[in-house]
Amino acid sequence: MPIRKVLIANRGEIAVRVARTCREMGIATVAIYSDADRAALHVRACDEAVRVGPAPSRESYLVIDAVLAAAKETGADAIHPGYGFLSENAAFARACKAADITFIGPPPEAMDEMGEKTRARRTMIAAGVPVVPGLKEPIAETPEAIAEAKRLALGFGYPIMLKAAAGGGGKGMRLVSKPEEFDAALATAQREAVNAFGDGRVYLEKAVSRPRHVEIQVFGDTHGHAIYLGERECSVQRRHQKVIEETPSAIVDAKMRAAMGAVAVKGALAVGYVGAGTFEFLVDGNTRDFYFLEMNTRLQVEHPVTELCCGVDLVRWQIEIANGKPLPWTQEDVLRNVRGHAVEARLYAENPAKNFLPSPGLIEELKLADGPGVRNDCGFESGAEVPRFYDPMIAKLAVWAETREAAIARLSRALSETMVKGITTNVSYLKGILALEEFRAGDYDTGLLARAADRLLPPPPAPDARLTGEQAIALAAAAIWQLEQDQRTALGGPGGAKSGNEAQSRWAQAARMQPLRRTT
Amino acid sequence: MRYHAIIQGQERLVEVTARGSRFAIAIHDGPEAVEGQEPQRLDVDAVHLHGTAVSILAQGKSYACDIEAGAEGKLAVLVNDRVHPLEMLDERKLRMRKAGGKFSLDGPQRIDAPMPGKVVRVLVKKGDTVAEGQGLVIVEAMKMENELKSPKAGVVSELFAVEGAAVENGAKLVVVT
Repeated sequence: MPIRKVLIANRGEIAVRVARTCREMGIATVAIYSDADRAALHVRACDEAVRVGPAPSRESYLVIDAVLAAAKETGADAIHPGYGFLSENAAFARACKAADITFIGPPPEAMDEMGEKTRARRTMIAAGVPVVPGLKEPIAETPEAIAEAKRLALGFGYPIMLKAAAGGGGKGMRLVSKPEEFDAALATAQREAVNAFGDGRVYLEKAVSRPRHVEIQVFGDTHGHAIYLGERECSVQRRHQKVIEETPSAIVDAKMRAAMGAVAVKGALAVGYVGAGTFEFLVDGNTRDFYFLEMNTRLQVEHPVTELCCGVDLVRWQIEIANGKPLPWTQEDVLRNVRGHAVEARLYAENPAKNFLPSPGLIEELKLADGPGVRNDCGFESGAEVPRFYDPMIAKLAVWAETREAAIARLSRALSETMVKGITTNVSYLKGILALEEFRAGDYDTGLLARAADRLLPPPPAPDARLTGEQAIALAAAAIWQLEQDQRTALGGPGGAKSGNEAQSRWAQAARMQPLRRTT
Repeated sequence: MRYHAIIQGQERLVEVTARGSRFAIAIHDGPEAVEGQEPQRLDVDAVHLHGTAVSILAQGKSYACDIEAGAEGKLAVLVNDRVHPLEMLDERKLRMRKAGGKFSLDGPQRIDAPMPGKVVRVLVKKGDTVAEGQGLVIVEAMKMENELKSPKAGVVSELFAVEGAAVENGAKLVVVT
């Protein structure tokens, strides 16, 4: 029985994105929402919507029983988990199966194999996938085990990395540059790991020089086939959070791509993988050796760049494969069809000038970019509230062009067209990254943003500087605006010069602007 | 009309005159008009589009502008794709601003929530002596914790922050005297 109704167990841009494909396929959709998201765009992007709990995600989007109850109540025969939330939760995939609902993702057994990093590492080593030299097991809390770990570290050669076994997102991760720092770094990594994941186990790896994060998109079907859909370069990261992604990677040539792809496909087949998955690799920027890092058993945030260069809809593929269909393409089809270059930038509600302070709140006005080769995946619209409870990513802006140079120019142009009023976003920071010489040359690693931090901040005001043409225009616009407002106030118009109460005064403000010549 | 604008940390006198749909603007180098010093003069055509969006044509060039008004005369003016923070004060507001004195750390310092969020920890009690840079309150939003530090050495004279409470942007949290 093919899928007829999909419950989308997510929110924001990815829920909207999945709903779009479902609509194109004639599949009914069910949204779930927390109390903070009643007015959210994804609720209206779907045919039905069910409340799953209060604002905090652990009381709503993460409650397996509530999500399954919503699916049963609406008669949904499948669940798309998106990314984050329950997407990599094997217990959730099992609960779906038990409730006779199709989980659009890999089988829970494959999630088990790849979910915990040390286990995934063991499985991949057994499958012949190259991994960073390191200690395969978490370091036990005994003096002997710690002494042994230190001996091994000396053998691999410093610098080494300590990483949380249950980790992700850079928490519980420490670079140790010399043996004397080992003990303190281990204690810190364990403490962070306990705080972040409730699991203090830490393992050890050799640190890779000029590390680049390159991942391979794989797809498997229920007929024992798996293929790869090229790579994504995700080395533009701030505190281990991806900011800009692109495909192809400047460091990967056809031969290396084939080698990485073959390894990823081998790994996917080894765990009986079905659906969309991503093999993350660490690439040594000097030697171009690549090592398996981890597998993400879900659709990635940055999947649009792969879609743009392949010309396919990966969510459609996910649904078809969940329906039991074979992969629509062979590996040769992929190689024949991939073309051009795609770059994606993540729009975050944060203030780069204030140490990336989150900036939730009311989006007074949102204008998204348009034009040739531009794609927006956005979960918000003008007048929407960005809740403080969830991830600060509000949208993804992806572009395609024939060459890398043209794609970067296009993304820069599209960012110039993007306007978000009311909350602070990282739009100008993103433009700054695109202008960095290292980025333009494709010669960068995961340390790029940290090294370029000074160059990416707006320059401090230079006193006594002559006004630039644009600054003079800004002053002129402000003076005209103020004049209009003051004239209205003098005439006793609505609103007056009162500040505050912004939401209510928006209409009044528009009225105050009326005396300016109005276009229709 | 005469306004006092602060842009790039510098005060400038700005005069604006409406002539139909055109506006004559004179931007002086400093806070006052100085004889013999010619201000920068602009003659622009301004059209209101919608909301606070304005199209400006100046010497044949086209500028897409938008204005976001904050508190106390603070404006963020978008010109094409760049935001210019500035302040626009009339004579009355300027007098009030000057009477208010210069920014200093001498008096009581109020620490406000820098964003809407939740107070996850309060690190001080009323009456505590705190050092400059000492953490006072941790506010969380969007899975990020932010520690608010004391801007000066002093005593916690007022404490509004309550652990677990949701706070709006700009909410009073602590006063250090």
